[in-house]
Amino acid sequence: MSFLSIEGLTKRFGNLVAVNQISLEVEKEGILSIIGPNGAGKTTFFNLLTGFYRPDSGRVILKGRDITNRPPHENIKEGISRAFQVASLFDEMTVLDNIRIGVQSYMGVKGRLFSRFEDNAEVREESLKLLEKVKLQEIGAHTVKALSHGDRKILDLAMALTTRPEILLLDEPASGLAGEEQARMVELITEHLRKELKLVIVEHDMDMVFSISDHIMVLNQGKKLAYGTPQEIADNEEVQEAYLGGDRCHARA
Amino acid sequence: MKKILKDPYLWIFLIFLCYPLYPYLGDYISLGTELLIWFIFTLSFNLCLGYTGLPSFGHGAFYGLGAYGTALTFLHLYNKDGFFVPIILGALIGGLFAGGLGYLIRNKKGVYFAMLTVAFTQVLYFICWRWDEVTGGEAGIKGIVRSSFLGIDMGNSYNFYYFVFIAFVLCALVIRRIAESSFGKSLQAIKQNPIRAEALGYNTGFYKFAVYTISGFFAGLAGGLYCFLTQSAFASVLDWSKSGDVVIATLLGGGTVSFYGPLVGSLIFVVAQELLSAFWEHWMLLYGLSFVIIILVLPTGLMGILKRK
Repeated sequence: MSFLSIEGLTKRFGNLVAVNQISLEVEKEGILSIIGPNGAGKTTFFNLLTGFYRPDSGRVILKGRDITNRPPHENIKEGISRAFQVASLFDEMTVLDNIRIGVQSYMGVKGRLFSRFEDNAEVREESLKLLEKVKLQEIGAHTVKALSHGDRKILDLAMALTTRPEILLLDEPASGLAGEEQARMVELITEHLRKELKLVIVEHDMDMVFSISDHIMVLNQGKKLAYGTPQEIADNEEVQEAYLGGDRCHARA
Repeated sequence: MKKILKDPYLWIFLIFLCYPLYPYLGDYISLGTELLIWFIFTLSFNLCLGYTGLPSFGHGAFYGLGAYGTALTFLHLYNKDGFFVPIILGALIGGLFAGGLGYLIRNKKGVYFAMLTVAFTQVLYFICWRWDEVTGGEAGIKGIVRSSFLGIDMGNSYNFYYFVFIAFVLCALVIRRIAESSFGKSLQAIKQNPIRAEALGYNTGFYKFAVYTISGFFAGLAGGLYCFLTQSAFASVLDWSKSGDVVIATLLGGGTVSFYGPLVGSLIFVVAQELLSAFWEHWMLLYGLSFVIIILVLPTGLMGILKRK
């Protein structure tokens, strides 16, 4: 039994088949990247895995448990979590509070009616640890609105970690990042996260994808075009023809 | 000690503890009582609007249910020596109906949510206005007597003022505790970004249902107190304009940015209603106009001034 198995996953929007009969066996370790041109169904695929969309057919089985039609808030208990393409934060709160919202959810104290949010030392401590891990500890007291784009992306990822997932879906973690900010993100992913959990990444930056991935799945028009190691994908003629060649040259240009 | 001295509640409580002593205003003891009732009502309402972002534009329903629930309990079930049982039952009825409605509409968004709450209030209004046998129809329910509570004569307006004052202090403390709790912070997270909250494990529908129920309970309690203040229950408490008044007072005061906003807004509304209406019957024109101007200049309401940095 594989860690995550996806069986014939399909999602239609009217006449458009956004995700078409995707089946995949995912192992527990390493980084899996999903690539494909815009509109290939990558984000839809993520939304299906995390319960934000309900598939028209197919199943998602994580650690032997069918999580197909479960709402997102239940899915995280199974150890699956996600970050967002456009950093999705609580804009009126501080950086620390953004993390605390996640941590108090994980610790099961989020619904306490009469115990003060500020007074929960356990949640606070845990949140500070996480901030340190992603190197945001110095701006913990800042309001999220005032953050740079790079810090927003890191915080978005950190929030996804608050629920201690075993598998984490990152939707374009490097989008809009360049230079030092991108290096920070790549370091976080490859030096820290890779060792701790399974990562599934949607990304457009081909250099990044080919350097960090253990496996790559190529999507095109909602269908799985290819799956394999970076070397296998790079050598795959079908992939080169359909998509990769042009884009890769473009990326290097 | 310093912390307590800095607490706005301490000053609000002190100000209203001394209310009967004030020149001129002190003579309007029922105005003070009504104000305290409004405080409870708008504080509870703001848990929905300010904290969770729920546009509940029919909150008068739960206030009205509390008033009628209290009146009917008093007349038919329990009138021995008091307020306590009828008011608590009124509050429970408010909470129960809010829970039922909240459950049904918990996943409705924006204007749909608002319209459904308005429709619910309208239905209740017509039931109370027409159902002569139970609610007295247009004539309403009269004959609610404030006898005594713990041996204190509640027929005396000043004694009753202090009864309501104590109720206000208790409710205010509980509501603030809820607002500052983990639950309260969860509500704010859901307001600011429901999708992220959902991704972090928050069952947003459940939280909306829960806060709606709690809010309905306190609104019902305020209605029950109002029933004893006026010693009656009329369908006018369920009029849609009542629900509108609460929204306006809360926004005017700045409920979306400050916990104390509803208190400021209530103060302005109730005092304006009482004083201006004595001079000019079209006072609402002035009030409405000032609301428009204030919200145009200060979208976050009066408390928004303090929050600006």
